[in-house]
Order: sequence, then structure tokens, then C-alpha cells
Amino acid sequence: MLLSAVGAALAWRPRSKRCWSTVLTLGAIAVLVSFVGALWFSLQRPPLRTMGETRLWYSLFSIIVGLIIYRHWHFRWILSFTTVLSAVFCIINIIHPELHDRSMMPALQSAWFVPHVAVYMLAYAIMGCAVITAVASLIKQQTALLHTTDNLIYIGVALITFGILSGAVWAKQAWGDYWSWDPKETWAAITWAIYMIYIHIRQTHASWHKTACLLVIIGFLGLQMCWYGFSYLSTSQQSVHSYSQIQ
Amino acid sequence: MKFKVFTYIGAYIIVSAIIQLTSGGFPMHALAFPVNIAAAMVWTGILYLLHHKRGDTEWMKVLAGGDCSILALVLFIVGCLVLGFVPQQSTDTYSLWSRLGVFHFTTSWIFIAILLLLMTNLTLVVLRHRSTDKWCQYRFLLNHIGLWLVLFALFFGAPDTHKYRIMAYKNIPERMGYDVDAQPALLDFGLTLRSFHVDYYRNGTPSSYKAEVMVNHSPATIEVNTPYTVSWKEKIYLVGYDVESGNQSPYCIFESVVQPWNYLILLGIVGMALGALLLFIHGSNKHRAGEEVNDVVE
Repeated sequence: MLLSAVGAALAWRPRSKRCWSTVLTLGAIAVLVSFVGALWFSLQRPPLRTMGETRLWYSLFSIIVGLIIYRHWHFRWILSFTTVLSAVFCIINIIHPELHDRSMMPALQSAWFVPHVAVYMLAYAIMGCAVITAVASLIKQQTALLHTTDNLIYIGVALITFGILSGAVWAKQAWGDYWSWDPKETWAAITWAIYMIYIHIRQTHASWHKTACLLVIIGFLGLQMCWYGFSYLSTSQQSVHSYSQIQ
Repeated sequence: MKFKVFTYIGAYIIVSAIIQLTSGGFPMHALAFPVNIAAAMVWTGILYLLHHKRGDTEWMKVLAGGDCSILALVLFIVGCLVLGFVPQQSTDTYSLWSRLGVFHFTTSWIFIAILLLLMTNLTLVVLRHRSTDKWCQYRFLLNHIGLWLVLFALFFGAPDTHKYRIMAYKNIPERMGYDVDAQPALLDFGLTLRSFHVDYYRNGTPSSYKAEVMVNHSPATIEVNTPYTVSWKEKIYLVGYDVESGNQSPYCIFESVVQPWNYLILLGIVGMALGALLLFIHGSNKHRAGEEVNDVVE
């Protein structure tokens, strides 16, 4: 986090010193990748089962996506926001440490497990960055920022679609149904539909900037419901996704 | 967004709510094969004819328009929010909410109407689509037809999907299964449990379990994530055992799932996955007239 924070700060410096922000952010990514790799090795299973483990992936992917946006669109402020976003989830993990064990329920022992969860965590990170660019677009009133949001949303939606489809095929293999309106599936469908509305509004009502930005924020709230929020609802008692409940 | 879109679709949803209040939930079982095939053909046939004969009328333009797509998605979200917030399978049968089907919302006329609206809009959007860009054309068609196939097969195929729970004791052939209403049914196959094995982690939670069975005199192993394929439309899943007895469990619980529309759903999934891949590769891929894209201020 320290490397990422210094990297984000250097992004505000003159152009000649900006390459150090990339180097330091890459260093932060390398540290997080090493930590995830070591955790994977020590647990002898993919560290994607508990909420804390998924938060770790979210932190990693947020910094990666932030760096890609910084390099591609040259938004100097994005690294500061993604560093804060990533730090929040790391701090939550430090404040609420989990007892990691090697156990993984049989239903999770599938070839679909890693791609399904990893693709979702990457999508969450991209959509988190999309919220940052959408809010910045609202404040600064810049259409260029909304174009960046468009690109992030398209990539994020593609990943969410992969996540839903891989989940459906896995569910068929494990339980016999592609789709069963399980609460987590339902919230995934809600989130996907919100982003579909965003795409359609940007296609058919290009001048509805505020509505589009608002949809990005609502969509991100939907993602939070899909990730962990649904487990606070009474409907979660009917969910087969009980292994991902708040820990 | 045009006021007429709200009027037409609002009236449509109100009609579905009235049908729900007066006749109860959607009779899904009445749509079983071959009725679902006939209904699907009539529905798509009517839409195709309307598109060609009445495509220029105002209400057809409304149905095939982008505003209708947005409104159908909004209604879909509202329907999903009911499913997301309201626990299903409530025993309350007298309240207005219950009569509106909110406790069994997937079989409510309102939710069925929303899905039908979404599918109708998808059909007409695909029929009307014209694009000069080859990749945009592919992406559009894969995403929309893929989703259409998934919705179509899940919707019209639902009445043909059957599940039977099978309680199989060791070395006793079993030919009976029980559906979701606990009604007995004769299975297409005979199932005999030969042995059962469960492995545990150090903390006592099961790491894996599997059953050795005979299905119609053929030996097979069934475990979680590895069902046994009986035929192109039927698979057997291992869903439970006597947890107290562990390896000495005298029985296993299996579930036979019959889903004849399986491959159509899979085809739709493949279409959507390819569409999503093109979405990933090409991104938003457009610069709108009147919008300056180079006004990046750092």
C-alpha cells in the first residue's frame, strides 16, 4: 500500500518523474501478487473462498486496473483513488483477520471456481474505477471522462457476462440447473440489467449524461449486494451460496 | 422517452396483474410439450409476420424501439427486486401481495408478462437490426440472439424440466423417484448404490464424497460436480447422504434432472459468451457527433 501510495503521489509530479509512479505501482502489484501466490501455496487451494480472500483479489485488481487507466488515458488522479479503494479493503482484512484453513466444500472443487470468481473480482474492480470516472465526469462536466467510463463499463459488462455464464454452466454441472433464481443469482441479474440499461441509454440517449453516471453508481451498489450485501437479507436463507457469507 | 411507450407497456402490465388477481399464478404445467412448441412457433410466427406486414405502424416501432428495451430492462429489474427482497414459497394465501404472486413471483403472470415483453422486444430488435460495420453486426447479433435463445429455452422449456429425488439404499435396486410435490414417478432407469466413500479435512468437514452405483447394469461413479449422464436430456446428481454415519451411510440421495431444452440453452450461452468476447475486445468503439473526445484535462 505504501508503494502504491507513493506511486499515486508521484503521478502528480512533472512528466519526467512520472515513470516512477508506474514503477512503484508495479512494485505494489508485485508485492500483492506474491502475497496472494504465497497464500494460495500455503492453503493448497485457490484463495477465493472467503470474503477476506475475495477482498484481497479486489485490492490487487483495483491497483492493476488503476494503472492500466493511468497509462492508457493519462488521468493522473486515478491512481490516488484506486490506491484508497485498494487500501480500504486491505485495512478491513487487517482489522478483521480470518482464520484461513485448507478446507473447501466439495461443490467449490470445480474447474469453474477460479475463472468464475476471478473474472467477477476483476469486473468489480473495473466497475469500481468506472464509478470514480463517472463521478469525476459529473463534477468536472467532461464528456471525455464519460467516454472512459463507457470503455470501462463495456469491458466490465463483458466480464460480468462471462461470470454469469460460467456460473450457469457450473451450476448445471453441480446442481442440475443453469438458473434457479437463487438470491445471489437474482442480484447478479439485477446488476447485469442495470449495466445493460447504461449501455442502451448511451446508445439511444447520448445526451443523458447525468442518468448514465447515476446508473454507474447504482450498478456498483448492485454489485455490492451481489458480492456480500444479499447475505444480510432474509432471502439469503434460501441461497445455496452460503459458503460466501460474511465472515 | 416517449409517453406512448409508458402508456402501452403500463397497460400491458396492468392487464397481467388483473389476470394474476383473477386467475392465480401462471399454469406452467399446461405449457408442457407439445403445447410449448406450438406456443413458441405461434408467438415467433406472429412477431415475424407483424414485423413484415405491420413493421411501419406506430406500436410496432414502439415495441422494437430502444425505449422499449430500456423499459423492459427496468421492469425486469423491478421483478428481480421482488425476488431479491421477498422470501419465496410463503404460505400466506389471502393477502393482496400473495394474490399478486409476489411469494411465487417466477410463476406470477406479472413476471411472465415482463419476460415475454423482454423476449418480444429482443425478437423485433434482431429482425429490424441493420448495421454497416461487420464486427458491430456480429457483436450485436451474438449478444442479442444468444440472450434470446437462453430466455426462450428457459421460458418455454421450463414446463418440460423435471426433477426426481431418489433415495437409494445399498445393494437395493431403486426405480422410483419423487418430484418436487413428493409425488412418486417411475424412472427411465434402475439405480443401485454399491458403495459410498467420504473423505474429511482435519477439521472434520467433508472434502469430497462419491458413490459407486449401477445404472441399468452399467457401473458408474457419481460425485459433486460430476453427474452421470443417462441420456442426452437426463443426468443423475449426488445430492446427499447420512452425514451422521459418514462412510457407513446406508443410503445416498440422488436427483435425476430431465432437461430436454438443455442444448438450446447451451447454444445461447455460447452465443452470449462470444458476444461478450467481442464486447471485451472492441469496447464502446464509437465517437459521437458533437462530443469532443480529446478534451482530457489532467
